Amino acid sequence: MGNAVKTVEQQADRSLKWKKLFSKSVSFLGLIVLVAFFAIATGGQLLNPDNLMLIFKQGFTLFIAALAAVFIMATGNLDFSIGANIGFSCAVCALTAKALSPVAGVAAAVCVGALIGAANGVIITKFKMPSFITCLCMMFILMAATQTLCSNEGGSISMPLSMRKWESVGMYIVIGAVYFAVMLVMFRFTKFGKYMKALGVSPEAARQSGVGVNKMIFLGYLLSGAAAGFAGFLTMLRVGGASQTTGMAMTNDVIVAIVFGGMSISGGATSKISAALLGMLIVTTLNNGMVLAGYGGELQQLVKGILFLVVIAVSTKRDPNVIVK
Amino acid sequence: MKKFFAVLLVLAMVLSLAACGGNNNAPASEPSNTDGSANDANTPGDSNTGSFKYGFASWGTADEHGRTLNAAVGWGVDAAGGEFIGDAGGFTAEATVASIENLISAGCQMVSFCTYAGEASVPTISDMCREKGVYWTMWDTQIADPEIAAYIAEDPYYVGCTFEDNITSGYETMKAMGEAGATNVVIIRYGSGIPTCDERCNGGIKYAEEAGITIVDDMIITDTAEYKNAVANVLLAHSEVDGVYLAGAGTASSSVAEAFRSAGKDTFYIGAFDYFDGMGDMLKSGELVCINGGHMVTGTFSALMAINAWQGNPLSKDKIEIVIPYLTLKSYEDYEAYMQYASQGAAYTSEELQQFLTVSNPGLTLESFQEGVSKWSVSDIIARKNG
Repeated sequence: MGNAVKTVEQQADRSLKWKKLFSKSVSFLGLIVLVAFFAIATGGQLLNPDNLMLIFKQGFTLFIAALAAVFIMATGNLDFSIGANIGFSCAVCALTAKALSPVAGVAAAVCVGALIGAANGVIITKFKMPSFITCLCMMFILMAATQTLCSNEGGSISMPLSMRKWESVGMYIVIGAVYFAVMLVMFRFTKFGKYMKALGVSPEAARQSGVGVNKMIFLGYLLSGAAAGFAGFLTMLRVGGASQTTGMAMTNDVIVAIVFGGMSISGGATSKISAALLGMLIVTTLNNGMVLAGYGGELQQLVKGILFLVVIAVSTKRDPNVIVK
Repeated sequence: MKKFFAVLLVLAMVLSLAACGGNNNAPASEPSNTDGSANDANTPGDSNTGSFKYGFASWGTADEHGRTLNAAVGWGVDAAGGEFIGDAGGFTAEATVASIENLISAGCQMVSFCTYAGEASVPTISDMCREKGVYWTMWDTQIADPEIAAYIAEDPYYVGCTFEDNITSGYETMKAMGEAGATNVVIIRYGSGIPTCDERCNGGIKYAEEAGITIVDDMIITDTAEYKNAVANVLLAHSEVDGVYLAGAGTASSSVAEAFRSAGKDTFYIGAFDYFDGMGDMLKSGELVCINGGHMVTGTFSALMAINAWQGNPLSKDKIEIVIPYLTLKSYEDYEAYMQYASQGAAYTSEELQQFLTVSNPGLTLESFQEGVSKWSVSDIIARKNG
């Protein structure tokens, strides 16, 4: 009798372990399957070195913005103003680069992005506004501001042609490696990163444990804003300027990438910085692979939507006692 | 194990990137193709024969305009014996750049795009095409920035662009509204600082001034979902309004009509740009006086221009600018003809389109090409189909 119970318990343990392992690895396995599928579907074209570089370049801005957004998502919040911040910073960057100097343009983009993030943080923490509403309002304000700036310049703002030489593979690799290392250390080994995850588990428990909740949330939005500003500069460099729609798709892409990367939308202790990298690779490989394999049009959106739903279904923790509203 | 694979994958990517090395964006004087993929590098002026891949970047295929646009490019590419590859990246400049990159990577020898998200990305795309030796055109686009125009004029792979005469079409649309009975009109623009939108409005305003039509309000609304509320608000303040001129986003016509009906107005006149599902019923009822669209052939003729250049028969030594007429629908009969011959089927047969290719029609000149394009109209389609 005792042995039989033990065996059942062991089986249950094993099953739980496998479930946990699967849940943790689903994004990584997804990337492997995706790469394998498109490698076959494109006759190996996907793994062509030139194409791999393309995937990296196409996903780089998303990677920069998503890494910082992980800090916000770890607290259980979302920054809906990321895309609009990227668009506005991009426009400011292009204008400043033309009016003053390219270096001043970069500085202006990061400063403006950080200021926007700080404004979000202040409004949320000092005026006790819900983060969702604050960021949504900020998004509308920034979209209007970007449209005004671009309209005054005839619809779009071109960067100085001299800046076209700035973009290089080496630049991407160096910036990407340094940025990832800094973010990884900040998220995993500093109090800041640990507190952000603690906030995602329970803000009240974190507060009672001595965490400066408002300070942490402010810093999170400041970081996200600065990263969006830098992403604005990178977008300008990649596209060649700013337009009224710059960054508009980025908010969605960031959230989708982080969730694809295996991070729960509710944040908390299981939040991981690698979700941004993994998610960026999945989203960009999917976009690139679909075109290479000849799947154009709305099929891309359909596949993304279905995959997103599957990942959410697999990665979300469910409480059977929760009433679905 | 997972971490090991993750590190392995990242290492593989970094090594691959490092192997590619260097700055890949400097325009090369000689086209190169180092990836060994399907697209054979072209040298400007070379003659190419046989099959090819033609890449087309657009916002999507869910709406009438996007669907017919992509289909119409396919007509031209099929007629020339090529393979059409479409990428519906989206409305942003980032998406357009990524689409072109992906299409080139997919092996396309020619690509085409539109600057609906602004002109700033054009030099970037020019650099990409020069580097890979890919011919390119722009559809529905006329570059306004002289610096950008000068930049691409130096690009041997840039063939030219197609665009519509928006001022004349705007003028004719307002004229149709005025002739139907509109006296107090509201203009709704879909954006600010967009040359296409501004030109359409300028044409409309020109006729309004000549004919004594009052422009009660001139609004910029970027979200089509807001059109109904905007018109409802205007009608509260100005009950005399009897017409709405939509400079784009024709799909909002039905919600604008609903705003009129909600305000108790049964007689009103709408003039619009860009086809939408349901326009037939509105043309039948007389609520929609005039709609301009059918400019999907802007993509077809851009493709034929590029194919001529790729085959070593450019229509001109200079960059080409071709003006495409709108297909203006003013009645249900026009709509039926459009649906029968252009929306559901190919408006041109392959033989007709081959007349726009020098390999099939050695006597083709830039002038005869433009002349052929200029015939594009509902009556021309009917005549060809019945002829």
